[in-house]
Amino acid sequence: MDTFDDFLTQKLKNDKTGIDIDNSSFKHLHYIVNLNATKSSVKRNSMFSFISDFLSPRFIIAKVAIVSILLVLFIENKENRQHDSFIYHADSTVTHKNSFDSISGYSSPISDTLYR
Amino acid sequence: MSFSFIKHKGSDEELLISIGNGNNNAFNELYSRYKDRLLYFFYRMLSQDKELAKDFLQEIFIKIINKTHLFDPKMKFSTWIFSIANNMCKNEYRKQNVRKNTINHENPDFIDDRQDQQTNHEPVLKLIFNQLENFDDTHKSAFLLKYREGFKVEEISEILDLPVGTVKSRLFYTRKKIQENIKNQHPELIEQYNLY
Repeated sequence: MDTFDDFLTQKLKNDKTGIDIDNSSFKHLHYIVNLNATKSSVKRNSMFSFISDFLSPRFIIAKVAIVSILLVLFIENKENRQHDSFIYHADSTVTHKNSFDSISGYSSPISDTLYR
Repeated sequence: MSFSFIKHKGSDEELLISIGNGNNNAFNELYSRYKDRLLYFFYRMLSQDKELAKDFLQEIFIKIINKTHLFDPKMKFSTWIFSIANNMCKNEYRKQNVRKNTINHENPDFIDDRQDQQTNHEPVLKLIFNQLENFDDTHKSAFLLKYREGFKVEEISEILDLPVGTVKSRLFYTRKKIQENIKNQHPELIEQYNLY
């Protein structure tokens, strides 16, 4: 092992800067740690506070009315979509029936000629 | 009930996550682990400027606290933090080069007296760090990361974002040049400290 290498490792490891760090800098860093923690908990709380406000008994009648209206609209929308899809299927069945009739109408003169 | 008297132990990476959640004990532990190491790195990289080194130390911990979410878990915390430290020093060098060119042009009597702030008492160390000032930031940082921090060459290559071969050649060249200069200027120190 290179002695100069060893010398450098040993000497540098134990070398000191002689610099003192004052307490106010350290306290400032703690303040930032706390600030960041507060910011993220405020963010979390604002989301939960909306839900808890909504579930509170204040203005309960208005809240029940809003929820009921939304529910009715949702159910109506679902029924309309089902109804529309029935109409679509019924229409397509009629279309298929019509096309079948026209095909069978076309083929019968051909079959007649085959047997002549 | 406060449990602040309980010292928070854990890996550097675990401490960082806890700091992100506002854990002050985790911050105390991480700060105590890295404060002296980073301060020394900045002090040597920034030409022994004590005030600048303290400012940089404060700045890097503010960056760490605010950007815990940017930590790449594939890296070790120690290599991550030193890569941030190295980049801060690189940026400072660029600024200083601009400042040096501007100030010297404007005031030819300007004297940079930061070299007077050295507090080394060991003459050979003083000599080594004087020699180190003649190298660029990559040579200096590779040298400090190896001999002071004990990082392996692969880790240094990750910190400096350089190929392993480049790191090895820079380390070899820096060490060789310093050794040669000491031999030429103070051959008695070679004998005294066995610097062969």
